[in-house]
Amino acid sequence: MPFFVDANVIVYAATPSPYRESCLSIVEAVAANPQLGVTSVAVLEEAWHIELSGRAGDLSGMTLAARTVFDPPLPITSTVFDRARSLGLSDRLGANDRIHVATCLEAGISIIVSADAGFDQLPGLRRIDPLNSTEVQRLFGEQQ
Amino acid sequence: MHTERLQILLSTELRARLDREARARNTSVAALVRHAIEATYGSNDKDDRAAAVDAIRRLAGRFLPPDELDEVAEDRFG
Repeated sequence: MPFFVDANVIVYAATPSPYRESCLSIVEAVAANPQLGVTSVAVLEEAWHIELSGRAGDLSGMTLAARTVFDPPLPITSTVFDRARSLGLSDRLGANDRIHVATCLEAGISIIVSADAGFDQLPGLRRIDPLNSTEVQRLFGEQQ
Repeated sequence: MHTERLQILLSTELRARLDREARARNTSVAALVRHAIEATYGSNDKDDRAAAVDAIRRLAGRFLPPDELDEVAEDRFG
C-alpha cells in the first residue's frame, strides 16, 4: 500500500531548510516509482494556495511539477467528504487536514508523510516525519 | 496518436452503461475508456516526472515552520 504525501513535503522539497533533502528524496522516490506514494487533489490545492499566496517565497511552478510527479492524484469524492465530516477528531485538525485523513482511510492508506504533528495519534493512520530519515528509508524499503 | 488496438470483453450491462455515458457526453466509448485509464493510472512518463523533480529542486522558497505553513494553508477557508 502506498504512503500519502502531505503538502508540506512538496513545499519543503522546494525550500532550502533542514527538511529539504529528505522531502526531495521522497518526491524523487515517487517520481521513480509511482507505486510508492500518492497524494490527493486536496493536497495539490493546498500546495497551490501556498504557492499563490507568496508567503513561502517564490514557488512558481511547484504545484504543476508536483501534479506531474503525483499522477494521478487521489480524488476528493463525496464519500471522502462525508467521512471527513464524521471523523470526530479534535479541533486542532482543520478542514483540509480532515479531508486528508479521510482520503487515506478511504484508500486504505495507513501512513502519511508529513511535518505536521497534528496528524499524530490518529486512529488508523501513522505519521512519519520527513526528518526521521530512518523511518523514511524504512518506508522506501517496505514499499518496494 | 492512437496506434495500439486493444480488444476487451465487457458485460452487457457495462457496455450499455458506456454507450449511455458516451451519448450523454457527446463523445465515443473509446474516448471514455482512454480517459478512465489515464485518470486511474496517470499519463506522465518517467522522464516527465524526473523533469518535474528537477523543477522542484531548482526552486528556493522561504522556509516557514510546519505550524506556520499549516496556518497559511488553512487561512484560505477564512
